[in-house]
Amino acid sequence: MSNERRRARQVEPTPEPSAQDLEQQRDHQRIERRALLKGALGLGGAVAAAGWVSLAPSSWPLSLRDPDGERGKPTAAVRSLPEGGFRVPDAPSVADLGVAHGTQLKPMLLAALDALGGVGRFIQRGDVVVIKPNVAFERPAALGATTNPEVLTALIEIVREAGAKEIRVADNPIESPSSCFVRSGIQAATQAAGARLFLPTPEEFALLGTPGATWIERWPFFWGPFVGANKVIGVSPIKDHNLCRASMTTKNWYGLLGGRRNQFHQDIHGIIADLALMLRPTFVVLDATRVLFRSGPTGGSLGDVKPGHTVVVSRDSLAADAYGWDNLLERQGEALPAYFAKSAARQLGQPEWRKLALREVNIG
Amino acid sequence: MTNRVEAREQSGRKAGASDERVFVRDGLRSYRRTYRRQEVYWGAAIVAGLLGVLLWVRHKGQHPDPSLYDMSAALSGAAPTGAQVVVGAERTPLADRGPGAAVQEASRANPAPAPADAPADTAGAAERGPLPPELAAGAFREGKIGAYTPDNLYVKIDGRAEYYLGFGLKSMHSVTLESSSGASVEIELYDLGAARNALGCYNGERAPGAESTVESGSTFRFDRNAAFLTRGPYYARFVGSDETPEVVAEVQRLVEILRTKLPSEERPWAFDLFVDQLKLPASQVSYARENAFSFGFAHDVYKVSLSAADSQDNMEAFVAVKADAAGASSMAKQFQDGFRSLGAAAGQTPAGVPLFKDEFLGSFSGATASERWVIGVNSAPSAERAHQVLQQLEQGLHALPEAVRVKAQPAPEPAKGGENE
Repeated sequence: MSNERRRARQVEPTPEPSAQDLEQQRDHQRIERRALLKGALGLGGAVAAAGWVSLAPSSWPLSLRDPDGERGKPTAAVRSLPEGGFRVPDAPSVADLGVAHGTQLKPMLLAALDALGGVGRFIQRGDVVVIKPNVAFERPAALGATTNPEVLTALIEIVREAGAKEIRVADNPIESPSSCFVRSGIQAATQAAGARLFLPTPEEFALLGTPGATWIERWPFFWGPFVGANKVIGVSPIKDHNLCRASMTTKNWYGLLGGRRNQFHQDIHGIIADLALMLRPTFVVLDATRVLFRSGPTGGSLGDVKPGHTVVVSRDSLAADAYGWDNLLERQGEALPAYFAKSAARQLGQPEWRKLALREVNIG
Repeated sequence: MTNRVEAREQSGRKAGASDERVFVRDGLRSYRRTYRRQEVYWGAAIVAGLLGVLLWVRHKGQHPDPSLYDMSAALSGAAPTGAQVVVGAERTPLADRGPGAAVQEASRANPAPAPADAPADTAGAAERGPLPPELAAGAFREGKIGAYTPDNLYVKIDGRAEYYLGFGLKSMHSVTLESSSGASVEIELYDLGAARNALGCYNGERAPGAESTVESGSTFRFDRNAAFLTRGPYYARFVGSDETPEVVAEVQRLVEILRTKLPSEERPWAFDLFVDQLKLPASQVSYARENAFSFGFAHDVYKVSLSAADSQDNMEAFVAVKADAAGASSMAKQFQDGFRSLGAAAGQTPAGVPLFKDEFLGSFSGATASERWVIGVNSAPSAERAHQVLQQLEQGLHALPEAVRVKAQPAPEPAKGGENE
């Protein structure tokens, strides 16, 4: 308001308010009170809402409270493997276990696969195949703690000849990965055979959901090699193990886990049963060309290794492992490790391999 | 008032309204029909700023910092206490890194490069632990050195770590010596805190029938490409890449170095009984820190094999010391109950010690207390032989020098994880 108008208003005599004016003033006051109350109510509501959203316990509805910052973090997607795994359809007329004895590895593998219907039953043209060997330790292959690189080479050749578009070799070793792949001979075998080697780097890991698992219902998994893959083959040595008594094809999937997996040692049989649930492969190869029968899983002395001259192929990891326990580790008569019963209870395989169809051949 | 009201009515404004007010008393409707240009510019700038903030938040949400995906803390909780950073060229294994952790791989196609020579300062000495310096000689050069604690030993040897933890592991240091030909020898040196633990650990990995040499405070054996040595509280494994003469010679050389450089320790008291009194080979003496004969109660038990190496039998004499006679009696009773659970009572020895016959093996076992000591025999081929062994143990105990009897004290009971020694 300008000064002139203010002075003009001061000079003007204030007329007496009429009854109508008084009525209008009372109306105005009522309206102002209502407006004040409305405003106060609205403001109070806004304050209360803001307080709820920011201070209410995070489990309450509409609460955005995030005391440790975890809620604000982006939620990593949980991956899942194909339902039913990477299995091929059943074929009742063929064997469940193929066992080949000898010293010529590629013919042995082919013979064992023929027992199961031939490699063509498992690998088709255009397939992207992941092969998971055991590269767990920085040990020369002769010490039996890792997959025999010659078996891996033969397997890669067979899979390629069957028409696979891409063959990937992957493992997440305990120790320094590059050293393990080199000293075990797996890196050289992979590269010489023309397969693609996946070393574990953090970017390759993702959360994997395994519904029904006890320990790994959601756990970091070596996901990178599995992107776009439609067939998975495990190839593991056969080893004594001081915790679970034997490490074979089922335990081999342990090498796909990330995170602090040492905590699983407290329930080693439980985690192996979870591994059987996690991954249903196309088939597995039990590499018994050597047998680490003592001081496993690391070994160290050639005196702890004996020649096995055998490969076992099966779609059923438990059956292959049970055969290995009885005939290759020569522990027939001893109780099977507990992971067999745990896995069988989940209908993940048949430990009573004698009930299955087996074909055994001697090569050379 | 009336003039003012009339004047307002003429101008089309309600009573109480003012040119300056935006809101009017009868609603929140903006009254002004015009706005100054400056107000419009400010308003547009504020709207643009808010829009920019919105777009930035949306962009950051779609492109989050990768470290936010590090799930290791969320999945594992706190890092293990006491874990030491693995130094030298042993990098933190990727098994412990979840997605999002920084990658330090030097090359994915080539082996880990050998580290620069370790500096001769305390930090370098700490890396090596009890490993003697300057192990390299001839064609072999030192490669990676690793240092591990009970909390992270699994990183090196996975589930095998539990075996050494069961013997009270304090630390493990490893070094790999490599030659230009590609041959290598890796030394794993376990500090088990006490000579008895090292001895037990050594014998636990000894194949049945494998002979050891006991000499100048060391017990050792060779096995093709490998060698195993215990001296003082240390247990060393030497793993050669093959059994060529080059590697075997290098293993032997390294064993000699550690035999001379590692500190020794007074031998456990049970050697005085088994070796000095009973004239048994020192190489046959063993120690079970816990779970002797697979009995959960049986810890701190010294055993000696009495069967020939090529024998089918597995007869062992054993002894344990307790704080007092009551403790010894209690443990003896536990052994008796344990042997009974494996078979059936089989009478007594002439001295009145209960014997038990194994249901499957047909062998005889028994135990009794003698003052603070528990003495016993496991898997004897006959009751007579069991009695004979128990008699010899009793006589040997009584013949022990007083100094040895005083020295014989029970070891602390192993805690979970074997950290109490």
